[in-house]
Amino acid sequence: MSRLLVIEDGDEYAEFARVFLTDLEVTAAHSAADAIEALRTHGADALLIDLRFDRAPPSALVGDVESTAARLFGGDCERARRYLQDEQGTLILADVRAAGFALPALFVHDFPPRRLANLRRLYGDVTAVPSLDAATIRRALGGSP
Amino acid sequence: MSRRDLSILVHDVGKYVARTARNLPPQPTREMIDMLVRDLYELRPGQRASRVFASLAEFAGAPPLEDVRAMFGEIDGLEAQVRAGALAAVMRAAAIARDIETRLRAVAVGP
Repeated sequence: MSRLLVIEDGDEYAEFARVFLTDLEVTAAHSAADAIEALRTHGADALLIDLRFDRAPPSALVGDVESTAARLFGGDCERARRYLQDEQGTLILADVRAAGFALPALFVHDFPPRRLANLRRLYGDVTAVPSLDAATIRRALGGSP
Repeated sequence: MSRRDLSILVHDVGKYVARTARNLPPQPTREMIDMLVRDLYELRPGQRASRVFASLAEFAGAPPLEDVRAMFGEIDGLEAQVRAGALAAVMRAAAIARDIETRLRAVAVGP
């Protein structure tokens, strides 16, 4: 494993990876469209995905606020907007999978076991680690610590 | 505090305040120290981590979060030395940051 595509709304994960995962070639994307374009253009061996995207402009988010509000929140657009931000990482992963990319995906989040099992049922090779710990992340990506 | 607020506190403060601290070698490079400075004193534009924590921890009277508030106070007191790259201060601030992440996660998980 040598190429890591980081998907986040800031640059904290990518900076962390470039400094502490120096054996990996790191590229970054800030939206689902960016990520799919990067995968088509450069490829990658694994994804490191942020979960919450609270700094991205609404236009860059996967999911439409109004339709999500109507479908899930009884028309409450504020709750729908928060949901799309809070779950953006998994929504991006869904788009990446739908585009035909099955590479391993890693979240830095302490998902409850049932939630992680559900993500694996939906999206295949999904791993989660609780902290930005380089040795743990390297192990999770299949490398030596 | 809602479950969502608690999750934000753990992940937006705990995870990022320990981002560099968890990975510092015994002799960190200047680049690593600069990253640590951003984590501790510039977590969000114009806001140190202690300020972000205070704004999110609405029920900071709870004992675990009072501890965290005091720990952030110690980190803030080390700022000049950390920015200057004084190794003892860098390592002390990093140790506190790791402890903060651990304590915030414990609060989120609950008893």
